[in-house]
Order: sequence, then structure tokens, then C-alpha cells
Amino acid sequence: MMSKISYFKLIKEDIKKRAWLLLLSITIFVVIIPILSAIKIEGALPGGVSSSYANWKEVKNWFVMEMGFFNKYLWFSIIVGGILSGITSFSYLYSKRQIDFYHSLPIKRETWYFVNCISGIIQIVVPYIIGYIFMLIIGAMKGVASQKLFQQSGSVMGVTILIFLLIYGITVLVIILTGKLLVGVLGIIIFLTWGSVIVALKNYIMLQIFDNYMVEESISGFVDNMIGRGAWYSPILISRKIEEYNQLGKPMFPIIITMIIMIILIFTVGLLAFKNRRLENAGKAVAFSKVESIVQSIITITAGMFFAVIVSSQNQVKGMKIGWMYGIAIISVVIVYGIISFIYYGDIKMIFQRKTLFSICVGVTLIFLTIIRFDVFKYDKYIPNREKIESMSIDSYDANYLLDYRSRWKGENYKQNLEKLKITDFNEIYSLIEETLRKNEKNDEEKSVINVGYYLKNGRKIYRSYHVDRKKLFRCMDRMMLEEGYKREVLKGGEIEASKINTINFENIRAENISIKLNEKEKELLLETYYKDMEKYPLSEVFDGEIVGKLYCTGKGTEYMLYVFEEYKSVISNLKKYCDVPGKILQSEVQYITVEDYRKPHKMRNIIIQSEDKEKIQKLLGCLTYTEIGIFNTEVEPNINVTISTDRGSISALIKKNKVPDFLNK
Amino acid sequence: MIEVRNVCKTFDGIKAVAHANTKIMEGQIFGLVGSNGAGKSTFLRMLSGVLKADEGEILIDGKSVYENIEVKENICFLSDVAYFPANATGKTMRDYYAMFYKNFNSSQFNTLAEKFQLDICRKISTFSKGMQKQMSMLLGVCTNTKYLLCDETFDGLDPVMRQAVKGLFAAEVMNREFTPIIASHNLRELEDICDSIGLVHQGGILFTKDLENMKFHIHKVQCVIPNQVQEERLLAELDVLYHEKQGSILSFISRGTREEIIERVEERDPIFVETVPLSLEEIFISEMEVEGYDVKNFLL
Repeated sequence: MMSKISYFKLIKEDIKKRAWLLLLSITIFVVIIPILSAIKIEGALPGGVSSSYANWKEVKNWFVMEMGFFNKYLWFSIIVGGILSGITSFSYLYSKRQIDFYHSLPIKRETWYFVNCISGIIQIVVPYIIGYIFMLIIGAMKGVASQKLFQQSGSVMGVTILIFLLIYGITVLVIILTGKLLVGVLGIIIFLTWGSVIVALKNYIMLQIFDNYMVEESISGFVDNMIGRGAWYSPILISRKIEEYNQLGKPMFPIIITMIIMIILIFTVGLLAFKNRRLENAGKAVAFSKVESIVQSIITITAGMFFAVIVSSQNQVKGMKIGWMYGIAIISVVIVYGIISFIYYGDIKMIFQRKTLFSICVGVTLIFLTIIRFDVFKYDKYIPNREKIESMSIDSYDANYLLDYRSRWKGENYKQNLEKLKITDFNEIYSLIEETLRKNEKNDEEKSVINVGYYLKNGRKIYRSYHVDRKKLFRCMDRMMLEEGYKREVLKGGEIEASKINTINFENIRAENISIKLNEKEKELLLETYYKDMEKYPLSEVFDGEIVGKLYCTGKGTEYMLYVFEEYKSVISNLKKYCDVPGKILQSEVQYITVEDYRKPHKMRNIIIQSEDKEKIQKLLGCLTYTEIGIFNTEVEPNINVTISTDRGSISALIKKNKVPDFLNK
Repeated sequence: MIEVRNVCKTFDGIKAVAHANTKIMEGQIFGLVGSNGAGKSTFLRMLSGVLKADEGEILIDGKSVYENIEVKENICFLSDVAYFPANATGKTMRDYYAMFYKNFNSSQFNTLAEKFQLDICRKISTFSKGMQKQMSMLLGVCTNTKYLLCDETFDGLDPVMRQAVKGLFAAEVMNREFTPIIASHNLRELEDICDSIGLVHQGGILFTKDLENMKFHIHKVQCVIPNQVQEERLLAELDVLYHEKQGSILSFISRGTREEIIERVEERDPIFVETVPLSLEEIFISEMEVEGYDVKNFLL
């Protein structure tokens, strides 16, 4: 039985064998990164050449961020260190000579596994900890270290080490599963990113195919999805998410526990794989033949589906041409399957040797595509039975534009915010959704997008996104706003604390931005009045109305933008004490008006109406609206832009629907 | 003792070792001979516990070898192409082996290295292939394990070194419990050192025989017997492995002691009779032809 002293000796010997890795690790973590940090601190000091910080407090806050979960130098070094260390710990499994040497020695495989793992961990983690402490010392010496920094440093180091262990453990597992370095490296890239790729892929495919699929976050683009929502599923991207999470003040405990469990699982699987690895498989692409087939199938089917959807969806807003879809799927499967086979065997003749597996890959890809393309399981048509629903939640995109409540979401995703928008009296909105699904109209002009959460009595949660009739939606929302909890969440009026607002500006329809000087009580009164007016007027009336301006309330690190509608009489009356609140532009203010008419794409017109042409000016002013909100409802003419030039500047406006003056139609 | 019972090993559908059965007694130098791809290396790697047999069992001193540290402590395996970690020197390898083999004799290693003119402070990567083999051999001997498995270790050594290593093995066998098992495709190489020989062919061990016994009990005789009938009766009476007639001279290889064979020949009133020295190769070819293998060019 190996004694503790022997373990120590073995670990020491292994570290000596890979001394270059330890040297590299020390150079990066203990020398280069602290020096870079010192240089950055010098530059950030108040009065420094590149400093944008006004005072020491800001510099200290910056340094806390710098030493947080996402310092890009440390992040990059930890990733590279984890991969390099993992590869060098077990790459001897690729060489028959080395296998003969090490595995003929009287030592159990478990011992080898632990010795190699521990020495690999020590060579990166110890220099990292020393380097981090150096950076703290440098910060303290430069006077930029705060108490908060020292308080967070323990958890930052701990979480970073956990991320390293995840990357290292996955790398080790991949090396054990494979038999060639090229395959090992490709496997590492896949295993470290596959989680985020799958998330992004799922989102992309679902969005392309289903009309009523609800995304979890407002992210578009495949790569953005990978590094957004998908980052939680990739150890190399997770640091950024943890940093965001931490910034929002959310508890780290669940994340840490999950990571620890994952690490234990990965190392346990690694140990089992190592114990059962047939050493004669050195030099083969994959050391476990069953894994070979599984990995090839998963990658081929996923790639086949992805390329089929992405290519055949080109030039279409939604959906795919069927012929293109199947054709591209087959071509993609053939190419990807062939590439993987070539990587495995290095012989073109063997690419399609396993005909059964190839047939399965083609078949499964086509079946999956058929299921989703033709919505075999009726995803888009699905609505839970009314009796089975306990509550629903509705998030209206249009309501957000007017009420701006999403800007006050604390980094939570759509599902998390839907939890706060629950209503129990959902019959009307449920009927609206039923009607929408029944009619299945494709005309989007009159439609408004809503995210919906169904919370069933059995605990299940279902999410969808619908395009519903706008006017009917707002009537439903009027009813929903009768529920106090829903109203409070949507309006979020009470969340704006007057004491945290430093400046208030009012932008009127003339696009004049007026600073309003208010004391504490006056600010409180203004915000209170605003909230009361919001509560008083039904949304369905307000959304069709005019705005007379926007209130910008700016505090430390926050800014709220509140629309002032012409129905908000109390707010307008309050504002008039401090500034001008014009309801419309007067003829006397106008120097000239420019109308850009794009209604006929091949015959664009640019019409200038001078102030002398009083009749035309009068007619035009009578049909204008100054709210950009009009763009989001159908109450404006979408292809006509009006610019009013006054002595105070230019004002943009739109023409109300069906109110275009005759002289513009000639 | 090493017992191999019905051991099989397959790589990607190819049977590297097929139903191998043999016993290797202690205290003798055992040679494992076979052509390229016969299964010698695979066999040794299973004996050393590197590979696991697909079927059958390998018992060393009555215990299974695979993942058995107690047994592996009595085995040292020297691969055909020696591996040394980067920047390793004789000294570092000495200390490395000493970690694993509690009976490793460092002073013996230092002495032998000096005798073989191997600088233990020099990087092994700068040694020639032959010198690396020598180093590997010295390390193996100095582990003082009961069994030393050598895979084509003599190949690549110059004749002087070969003799020196053979002398070293012989001395070790005399001085302690030591059983080297040497795999080679060169029968002549093994002839003057091995006590027993096992022949490996297409994954199986055709036979295992004591060398002296084999040489003592097989002889080649050339004679001239004028009477054809007597000649035929002679061939029928003896356990003849091979015979041919060139002109009137009858040449045959027969089992039995020399005295027995000559006595029988002389009963037939030969005009001429003499025994001819047999090489190990000729003995093997004959034995294999009896086994049904026509392997005239089998051995190098």
C-alpha cells in the first residue's frame, strides 16, 4: 500500500517531470499578471495619464472589479492552464512506450490517477494563489485596496479555482477517453463549449421554426446566445456570468454547490474511465469504442439539424423551404460524418464503413427535422387546458416601451420576471390567446408581442410568445391591472426613490431638454403625482394617446425615462410650474416643414413647405403626432417623416393614420 | 512459477494471443521465440500486468498479476524500445526505480554503470540506442525483482555487450531467485543463454521445452546401410522427425539418446555412420514440422 510519503514523492517526481509547466505557470501568475496589474493601477490613479476616475473611491471600486470574477488576464490564464495541465497530466496514454513504462510499475491505476491529477492541480493553483495575493499586496501598497476587496478575495479565488477544476477535470476526462492528440484537442474544444453551443442551437432552431417560442433573454445571434444564456453551460464562459450574478448581489451558494457537484462527478467519471481504459487503445482516435459512436452521432445529428435550419432559412423571415431543408440536412450529415470518420480512422476508404451508424445519423436527423418543421407535436398550437391552469403571467413588449419597466429588471431573464407578473383572473387574456391561435393570422401590423407563462396546478410551467391583437391586448391589460400585484410590477412607480434621483430633465415635443431644479420634497411630489396619474388612466386609453414629453430621472448609476401623456393632467400641471409643456407646435413657431414621402419606393419625394404657405402649414400641423410610440402602434403613416424647423431647432414628427393632407397625395 | 492458462488477447478483431498455455519455472532463463507479429510482446505485456487478458488467467506465484501490486513488485518489464522521461539521467532513473522497487540496489547500479561505461550524470536522450538498451537492462537487473521480462532487449546490442549482459544474467540467476524471460525473434541469440525455450506462433505457444533436454534427445545421423530393407526397418524403429537420402547416404533426425540411436544403426551393419551436430534452429524446424508447420523460412 502506498504510504503518504510515497504519494508525496510521486507527486514531486511528476512535478519535476513537467517542470516547464510549473515554470510557465509561475511566470504568468506570479510575474507577468501582477506586473500588468501594477501598470494598470498606475494608469488608473487620479491624475494618471489614462485615468478616467475622478477620485480614489472610484479607483478603489475599479480595482475591486479588476480583482473580481472576470479579470480577463486571469480568466484566460486559468483556462489555458487548466487545458495544458490536463493534457500533460495524461497525454502519456497516447504513447505505447510510455504506457509500457508507467503501467508496468507496481502502482495501482487509482494511485496514478490521483497523483497525476493532484500534481497537475498544484502546478496551476498554487502559482495562481500566490500571484493573486501579490496583486492584493500591490493594490494595498498603491492605496487602491479597500475592505470590500479583501472581503471578496476569498470567494473570488475559491470560485476561480473551482472553474479551473472544471476545465481541468473535463480536459483530463477527454484525454482519457481519446487515444490521439488531435482528437483529444478537438474533444476538449467540444466538451468545453458544447453546453453553450446546444443552448444557442436550441434557441436558434426554435426561433426559426416556431412562431410561439419564447426566448429566455433578449439576445439575438448565435454567438451572443452562446456567451449569454449558454455561458452557464460552459466552464470557459461561466466566469462572465458569475461576475454579472455577483454584481446583481445574488447568492453565490447555489452556483458553488452546483460546481462542486459537477467537479466531483467529472473526476469520478474520469477515474472510472481511467481504471477501465484498455491501454492497447493508445493511438486509436477514441479509446472507448462505444463513446466513439455516441460522440460521432451527437455531433453529426446536431450539425445536420443546425445547417439544415440555418441555410434553408435564408431569405425568409420564418420557416424553411422543405426541399432545401432535407437536402441540406443530408449533405451536412454526410460531410460532418465523413470528417469525423476521417479524424477517427485517417483513411478515406473507411469513412462510411459503419453503414448502420451512418444510416441512424441520417434517419434521426431527418426525423427530428420533420417533427419540428411540421410541428408534429403541435408546439405552436399548444395552449394548456383552462381548468389546469393555476395562474398566468403576461409580459407585453408594447407596454414596456411605454412604461419602461424592463429597464428596471435586475439582470433577470424573461422567465424570472414573468414569475412576478402573475395574475389569477386570466380568462380574458386566455380567450384572446385562444382566438389568436384559432385565427392564425400572419398580418403583424396590428399585432403586439406578449410573453406568457402558464403555471399549472400540477407544478408544471409552460412558456410561449404570441402575436396578439394590440387593441384587445390593452383592454385585457386594463383588467389585469386591477390585480394589485400585477399593477405594481408593471408600473414599478414606487421603486423610483426620490432621494436617489440627482437630476430631472424634461424633453418636450420641441425636443428641448430642460433641466428642472427640484428639492427633495418637490421630487417626491412629482414622482408621486406621476404614479397616481399612471394608476388613474387605463392603459388602453393611454397607449392610443399622445405624449407631450419625456421625464429623465437620473441617479447614481441609474436613469429612468418616464413618458408624460397628455392624459396625465396632474403631472403636466406640476411640470408647468417649472418649465414649458407645449401640447403642440404653433404655426407662428414654424420656419418651414420638410416632408419625406417614401410611400412610393421608386418615387421618393422631398417636399418643403415654407412658413408663408400658411394654409398648408396649418393643415399639416393639425395632423401631426410627436410620439415615436406611434411607430409601435398603427396610428401613424409609416412611410412619411416630417421635420419642423423652428428658431429653436428641428423637431421630428409623424402624420396620424389616414390624416394625410390632400396636397401631399397629389 | 508463472502459469499461463488459456490466455487470449484480441485487438480490433485480430487475435494477438490465442489460447496460450505454458508454465515457466523459476530459477531458469526462459526464451520466448517467434517471428514478427507472433504475439511475443503482447504476451510479455500481459505477464507484466500492462494489458489485461480477454480470456484465461495469468498466475505468477499462484496470484493473478493484473492490477496486483504485490505481484507486480516482483516483476520488471523492459520494453523493446526503452522509454525515459525527458531530461532523465541514469541517476534520476535509478532514484525513480528505487521509489517503486523496494529491493532496488543503487550501489549495484552504480557499479554496473561504471563497468558498462555508462555515465549516470549524462542525459539518457543523448545516448545511442544501444546504450539506452544497456541502461534499461541495468536498471531492470538492479530492481532485484524475481522476474525480469525483456522484450527483444538483446537486439541492438553489440556482440561484446551481448556477452556481458548474458554473463550478468547468468550471475544473477546463480546468486539469487531470478527468472529472466527474454523475447526475441533470433533463435541463435537465445541458444547460448536460455535454459528453456517457448515458441510463439500466430498468438499461440506451440511448445515449451528445456533446451538441454531437447539437444540431448534429438540427434542427426548420417549413415550408409547397404540393405534397403534394413534401412526401412531402422527408420520404422526409431522416432524419426526428418529423413532424406542423397545417393546412398541416409540422413535423419531422430529422438532418443545418441547411444540408443547409434546402437540401432549398428545393428543394421552400416558401411558408415556418424552423428552430425544439430543447431537449435534445425531442432526447432524438425519439431515444428512434426507439429504440422512447414516453416523452412520461419526463423531468421
